[in-house]
Amino acid sequence: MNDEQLLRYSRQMMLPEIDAAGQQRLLEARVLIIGVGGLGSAVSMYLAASGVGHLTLVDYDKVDLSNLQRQIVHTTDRIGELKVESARKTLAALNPDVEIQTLAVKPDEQQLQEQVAASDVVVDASDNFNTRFAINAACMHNRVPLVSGAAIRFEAQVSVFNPRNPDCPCYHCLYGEQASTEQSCTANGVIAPLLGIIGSMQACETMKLIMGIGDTLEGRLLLLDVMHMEWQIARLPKDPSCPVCSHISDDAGKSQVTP
Amino acid sequence: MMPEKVRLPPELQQKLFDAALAQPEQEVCGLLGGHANALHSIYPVANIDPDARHAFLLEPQGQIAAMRAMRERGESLRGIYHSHPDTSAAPSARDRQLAAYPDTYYLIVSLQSSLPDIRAFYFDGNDFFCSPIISC
Repeated sequence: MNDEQLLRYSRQMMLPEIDAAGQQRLLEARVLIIGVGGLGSAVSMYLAASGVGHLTLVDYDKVDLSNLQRQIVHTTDRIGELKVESARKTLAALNPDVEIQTLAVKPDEQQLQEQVAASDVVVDASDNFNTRFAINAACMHNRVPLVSGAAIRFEAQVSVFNPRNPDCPCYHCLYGEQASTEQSCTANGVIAPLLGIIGSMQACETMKLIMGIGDTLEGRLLLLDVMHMEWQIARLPKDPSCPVCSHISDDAGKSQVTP
Repeated sequence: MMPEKVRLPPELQQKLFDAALAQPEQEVCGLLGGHANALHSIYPVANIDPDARHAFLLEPQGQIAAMRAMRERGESLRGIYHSHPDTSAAPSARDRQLAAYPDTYYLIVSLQSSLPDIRAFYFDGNDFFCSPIISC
């Protein structure tokens, strides 16, 4: 790390749990962020600012005026631009240290497998069940931890699905095949700061996974209701018959990521 | 500090017995809403354990729906219940191993004898403590 980096990251490096070793792990880490909308805005900005060295952004959509109420990585003058390009500009301006790769596609299974396999942590910031199931399957297959978040109206959920932890359920354990009712912020509405809260939590869990510190939300689902401003924690069991994760053997060891 | 006794209204106790007796061939399970040591409401959740006669796993979506209903009624998660079709109303080794919600009461209904039995245990995050039931 050079002097500028030491100064830039000093306020988190002074935390003994992070220190120079943790920061070095962040700088060397590769995080795949799928979806650069409301959740992806907060996640990508915090990860870039914190010095996560390599971010891959995946989103095929373009910036629309109706996005700007909540998708804070984009700006009014970028309406019509690809979201990944708009986000790249914001993140590069925020922290030129970060290497940003963009994919303006709806990834097919092979692309998803390749991208997930090349990542240390995957952040699901997408807005539909099909994508979420595909991301989960790719993460379980490649044994890459998945930080999952979802928000709609005034409610949100966040959890970590870590295939390296044999007791940890996966997204499929949680939703099974029953999740056919598609809901999205576009169709149902969402209060903007909720996405910032959940996206920030996803960023925090991602950093902890990279650095191997603390206790993540593995096996726990955090539920937030901002209308009543109440948190609840659901303890999630692994589905012993889950077709996606039950066959993963338990020799993968700890949840810590080694970049 | 750990409350010593748990308050269980007779009608809620009856609902727990009814739930257990409705499916005597398997462990039934669910959440209990209330405040502090007073239990008010039952929220049945499906048991997804493959060996449902001898163990229980709370179905995740059912848990989430129950928590939402609890929140909307202004209740907190205060208990987890399940039944034992053919063993006593004491936590099994697996119950101890999988206990997940600290600072709650675990209520166990046993159908082992001709009359259903119910016992309550306070779980502090590490261990279970027998908790007398006040029927009110």
